[in-house]
Amino acid sequence: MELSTNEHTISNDEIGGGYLFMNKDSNPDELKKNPADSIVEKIQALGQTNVAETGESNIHVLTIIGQVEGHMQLPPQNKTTKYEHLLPQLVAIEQNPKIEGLIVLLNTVGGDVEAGLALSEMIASLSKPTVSVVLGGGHSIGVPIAVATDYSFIVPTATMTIHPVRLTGLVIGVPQTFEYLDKMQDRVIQFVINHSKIKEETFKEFMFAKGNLTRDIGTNVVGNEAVAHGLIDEVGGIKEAIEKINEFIGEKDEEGEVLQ
Amino acid sequence: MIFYTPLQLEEVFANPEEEQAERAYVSHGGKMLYVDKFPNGEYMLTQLVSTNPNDYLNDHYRPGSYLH
Repeated sequence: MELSTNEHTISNDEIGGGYLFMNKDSNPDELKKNPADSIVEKIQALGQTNVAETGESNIHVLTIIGQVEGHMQLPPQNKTTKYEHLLPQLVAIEQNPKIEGLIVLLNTVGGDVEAGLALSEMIASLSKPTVSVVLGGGHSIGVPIAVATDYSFIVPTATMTIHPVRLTGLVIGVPQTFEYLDKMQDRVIQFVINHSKIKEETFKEFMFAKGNLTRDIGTNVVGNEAVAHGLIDEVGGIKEAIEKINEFIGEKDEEGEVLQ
Repeated sequence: MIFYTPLQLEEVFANPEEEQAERAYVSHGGKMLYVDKFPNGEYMLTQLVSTNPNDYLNDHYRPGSYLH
């Protein structure tokens, strides 16, 4: 058993050759002996006393949280979703015959445009049924990720901020810089209108609206509004999402039977 | 880098005053774990990176678990 980090590898000798997880409750026998300790630890860690257990799941869940991190490592106070972790997972989901569907849970404030678009294209090109649920916020680059799935849900209280793309670091003040940024923005716009029912004019109107975001240009779209404009397919939560994905999986199974 | 977020860029790129615990991604049992490293050689799990919802029900991968 080896625990490898970016910097070095910890061998069994270093960690005393024992089982990596030395919690009292990591050993079922010890758990029986001392259940009180385990409960205290659980309360400290999760704020709850009991965690349910189930069998294998045919639906996998991808969580897009915090900042979407791409080419640059963000400072450690940011909670991030790293694309280099998610891309191989998406490949594994496509490959694994036991996985029949993917649910994408979003609560993100956006982030790197190219990383976000990479994730969106990966999700859009999966052959397996995909459903997304926007919880809390699916801002900026979260918008293309949310619409990349076959069907998208938004909870009534969730919001999505649509605003122009920004550039960080050294900016050279020439017209070419503007054109480059404009092209980058067009890629986002094209992806969103190709994968949702929103009209290009409406989306651009949202993006360049004044007065909605105090000192900024853009629009904050809340649950029902996002559905009314066709950005998201339906208002709903996890129950609807699971129902939908099971429906998609059922349809796919039927198709498979016809082919045989 | 092109960045698309409603947050102020100062908020994203500000450096925290106090030093944070050293963190690293490690892999264990085919699963990716985000851990806090402590000077005494202990590791504490802060985040599990997995798409399998059942991994999150596994006691071993509970946030706050100590790896020695």
